[in-house]
Amino acid sequence: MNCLLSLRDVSISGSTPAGSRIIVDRLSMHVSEGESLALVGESGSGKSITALAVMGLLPEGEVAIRGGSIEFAGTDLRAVDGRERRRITGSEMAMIFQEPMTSLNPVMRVGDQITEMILAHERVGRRAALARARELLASVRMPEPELRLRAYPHQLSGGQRQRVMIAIALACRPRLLIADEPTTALDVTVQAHILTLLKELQQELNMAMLFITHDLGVVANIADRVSIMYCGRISETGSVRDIFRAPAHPYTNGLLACMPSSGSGQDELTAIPGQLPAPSDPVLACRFAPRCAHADADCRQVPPPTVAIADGHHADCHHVSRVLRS
Amino acid sequence: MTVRLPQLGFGGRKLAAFGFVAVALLSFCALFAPWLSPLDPIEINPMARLTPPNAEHWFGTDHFGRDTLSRVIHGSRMAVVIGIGVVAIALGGGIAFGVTSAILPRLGLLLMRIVDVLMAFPALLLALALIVILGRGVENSILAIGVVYMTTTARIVYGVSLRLKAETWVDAATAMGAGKIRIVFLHILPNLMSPLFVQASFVFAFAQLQAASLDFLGLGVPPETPTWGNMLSESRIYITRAPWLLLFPGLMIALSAFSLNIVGDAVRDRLDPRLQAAFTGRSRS
Repeated sequence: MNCLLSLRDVSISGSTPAGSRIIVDRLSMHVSEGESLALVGESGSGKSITALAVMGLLPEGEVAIRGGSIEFAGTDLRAVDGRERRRITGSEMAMIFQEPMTSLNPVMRVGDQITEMILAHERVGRRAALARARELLASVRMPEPELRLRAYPHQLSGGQRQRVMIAIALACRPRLLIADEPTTALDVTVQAHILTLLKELQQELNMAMLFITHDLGVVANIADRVSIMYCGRISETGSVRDIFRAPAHPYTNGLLACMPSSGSGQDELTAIPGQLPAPSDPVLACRFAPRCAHADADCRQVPPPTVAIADGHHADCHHVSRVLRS
Repeated sequence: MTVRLPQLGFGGRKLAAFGFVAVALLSFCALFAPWLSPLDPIEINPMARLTPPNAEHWFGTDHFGRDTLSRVIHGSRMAVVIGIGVVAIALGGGIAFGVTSAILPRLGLLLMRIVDVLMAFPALLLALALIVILGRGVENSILAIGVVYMTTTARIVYGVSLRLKAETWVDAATAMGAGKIRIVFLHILPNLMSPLFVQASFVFAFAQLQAASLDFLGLGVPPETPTWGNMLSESRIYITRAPWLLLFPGLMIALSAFSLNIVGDAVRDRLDPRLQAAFTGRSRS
């Protein structure tokens, strides 16, 4: 498969009153044409920032890319000018956000927001664009699409708003869809509907998807491959099967242990001991070392090597073999 | 907005209805002043100097024997002209300054400091200073008062625009390939409408007070033009002998400012789709 989006050694840092702070540290990953990659991590691990960096949405003057390259379909996204970026974003790659309540303009009718998107990228008439908007709403399984075109966002439920967001994102048939926790703010039942919808649309349109989530539970349904992110670095990448069956990084192991499963007879919820290091903490060679059961002196001083376990499955850890055995 | 009045449905809200009626009357007086006023507002009648209100002169007469009612009615013309002019300058300039500052932060830093400096002067003092530079006259009164209220409008627009700029839907629009101009016209300006409606009504109301103050000080509209401020200014020495000369123009200034504020609030409540939801209970969020 052709590589569509590739990030190589991307570092992103934020400036705080206390000085600059690394948020994403030499991160590399790729998304191939038509595949779905889940980027999983805790809040604060830098996964959303990575997505914003790809879309060119980093808050100006506060967070900036310090190094590395971001390529989309052969174009260096760090080098493109504003006009070219506006062409790519929206028509080639699109993004949906976590909060469906705030990601639509409250004073604009839903239909206008969808047609605006079409008109911004394609030379079509308003009438044709409106017809397309209706089709799009139908394709995201919106009940009564004709009626919804004239609705304002506050007249829709959270799930319906997220459907509108998906319709807007898909209006120009992008090759890559970035979904930043699109179901986190929704009810569990609505979550399942939206996930199914996204998966179906992704396959129908043969579109690549970067699905960002903190919930390992939704990953198995939606992703082909998984990258686990911890403290601005990717700790492990592999197919869904690899990650769930043979986790090679202690952090992945910990995350899987945290997932409550119904019927397992577990009484207590498991948690990974400790917490994300504070920005003021000294940066250790392996950032997970303070919370890791396998950690030794090496982990604190020598940066962990990237160990390949199988084709496309690799983890950054000194003790991969020990973790795999456990 | 007035043409849509029947659909606006202010039923049950008497204060809003009162405001609308008062503003409608004011506009009516302004439009049809020559036909409405019983006598010529500048015709001098020395025989009838300082007559108290009676059947012939409902609002009495002033020290030249001019009919106060006619002068008050004609005064509403200038009130409306100044109000509209000031609102246009204050909102036009304020939106331009505020939105530009929010979108281009570096330039904004400079523009907002200029606004800060202007705001450091008391409103009337700033207007006076501008009149001294520009000279007196209707246009210059409008310009001077407009600049005064442009500063506060720019501040409000700047603040709201900064907040709007940080909203997820603006990020979402950027993520869909919208440029800065598209963001401003589709996502920032329409969301500014409801705070600006209120601001417009305030500015219109305060413009009445400022214009009256300038006229009172003899630095506004030339004294031969009947304005409420000029009327107050001319007749202040007769306050004990002929209080009606101050009562009626004073009442008109207060009434117009008050009713415009009410109208601004009511229109805002009605136009904002989010507030509208609160009234009709149609929101599902």
